[in-house]
Amino acid sequence: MSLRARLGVQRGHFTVDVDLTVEPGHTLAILGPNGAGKTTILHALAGLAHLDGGHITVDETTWATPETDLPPEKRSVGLLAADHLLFPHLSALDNVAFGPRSRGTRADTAYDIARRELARLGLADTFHARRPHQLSHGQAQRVALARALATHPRVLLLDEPLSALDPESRPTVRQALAARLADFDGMTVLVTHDPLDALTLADELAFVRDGRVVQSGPPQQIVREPRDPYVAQVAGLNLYAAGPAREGTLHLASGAAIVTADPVISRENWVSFPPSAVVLGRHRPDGSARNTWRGRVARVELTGQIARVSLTGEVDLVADITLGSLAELHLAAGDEVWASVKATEVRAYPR
Amino acid sequence: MLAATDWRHLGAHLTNPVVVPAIRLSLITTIATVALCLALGTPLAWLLSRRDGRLWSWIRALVTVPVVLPPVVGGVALLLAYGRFGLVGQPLDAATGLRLPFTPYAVVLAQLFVSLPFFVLAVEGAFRALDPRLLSVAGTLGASPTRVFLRVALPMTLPGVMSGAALAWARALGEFGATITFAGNFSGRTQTAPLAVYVALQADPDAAIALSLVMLALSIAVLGLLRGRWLS
Repeated sequence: MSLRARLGVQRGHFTVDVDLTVEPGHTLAILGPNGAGKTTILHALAGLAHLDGGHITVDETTWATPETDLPPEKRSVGLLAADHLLFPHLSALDNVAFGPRSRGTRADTAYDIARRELARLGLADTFHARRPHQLSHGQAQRVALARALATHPRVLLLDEPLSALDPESRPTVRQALAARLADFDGMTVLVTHDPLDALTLADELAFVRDGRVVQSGPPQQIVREPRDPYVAQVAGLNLYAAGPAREGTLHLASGAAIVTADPVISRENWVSFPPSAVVLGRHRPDGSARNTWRGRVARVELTGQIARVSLTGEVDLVADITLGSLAELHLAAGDEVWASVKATEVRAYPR
Repeated sequence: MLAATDWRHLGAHLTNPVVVPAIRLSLITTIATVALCLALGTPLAWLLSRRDGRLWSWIRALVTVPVVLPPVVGGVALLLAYGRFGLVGQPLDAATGLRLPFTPYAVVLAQLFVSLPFFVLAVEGAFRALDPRLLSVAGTLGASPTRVFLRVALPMTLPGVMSGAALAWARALGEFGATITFAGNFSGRTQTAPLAVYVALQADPDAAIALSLVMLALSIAVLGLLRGRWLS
């Protein structure tokens, strides 16, 4: 009882080829940059895109192969997109009841289901009669989620469900979504480019780039050991590909050396360290840090009490320093600085 | 036209034995034509908007032919097809004894022939303007293609369908060439308002003007009704 799929979809020169497995009650988040093929994956699952290879199997039933294609209305799916896509000519309640009615449920039962789904998402009776244009973005998106769930789908597909919302309503809808997903017993596939959505809503992450999965696994593992530059960027870590280690020292592709306290046995490795582990200085440090590199400031950005400094040089990296250090160092783009990282802060793991 | 109207005798002209039956026939046949347009043209427009490929572009081209065809030629074509020895007329006569040419049915058929393409093209445009994602969502909610059409596409394009119907109605009301060729010009039976205007213009120009005035008023009234209700 689960969703198992290998999706091969050809779109001109672009090919999507991914393996997915989602257990009942679980949420898989698919992350990736724009144009990575995330939406194509959802469309293939929903039956809106034809499979050129692979299969989709849900609860031991085959939904699609390149030869057979169950049409969308025969698949037990609920789809929620960035835009609510509510039917403009129907009230909120009619929108939610549309699905059950389409699947042959009697009118009074369908409206009971609709009222219950709306209530579960915190939408009171006063919203029932409203047309979509009379709802706020956040309310409309919750109505759309209620509509997607009213058919009791086995597979719930969420396509950037929070990306079109304004910053004020996003947390409310995210919370409603998280609460609703917690007691949803079907399989959920969430497509997003927002790491916060993925980390708060998903049990499993899959990073997609150029139509392939570059890394997948539980969030805590991915955040600790990224294996792809994009994943590292999302996880907020500096990541480098490195060769074998000799006495704790590894060499990066650029030729720079990096020292780690981690035991390394593999010939091909990833090395990573968090931006907060980097210490910057105007002069060559003579402390205990084993890693010191010279670099040039490319950019300085402020977020709250933290300044994020991007360096280029022997090792390209980002460093998070406090406002106090920034003020002390008087850093500006083009300045030359020394970066140092303790060997104990550098993680190394097989590539 | 308003300046040339003989307002003092307008009442007398309007009760002219030719005028009333012509107006009545025009009203009945154009309403029948619009009803047929709605019943046949709406599903056809829907299919045309949803299907692509060779076959459907041929069907679209075929539907569009009457737009560019001179109506008289259309009338000749209908006469040849539905005439007593025609491709459709002969079997129809043999099977049911129904002979269409020179009957009120022929009037409706002629009007349908010229107005259906206008209706279909207008309504197809309205269907194509729909957000396709809404139709996809309806599908994922379990709606069959027929239900998507009836419950989502049709209600959302009602203004477009109505303006298509108005366009078709106006085209049918003014229809002359195909009607006179295929249905003839028998007062009270196949003589529609435009035919009556043409005939009256030679015998009784004031009656022709009066009749034209009625058609003008009718057209404006329908347009006004639709504007308030559907076209804003």
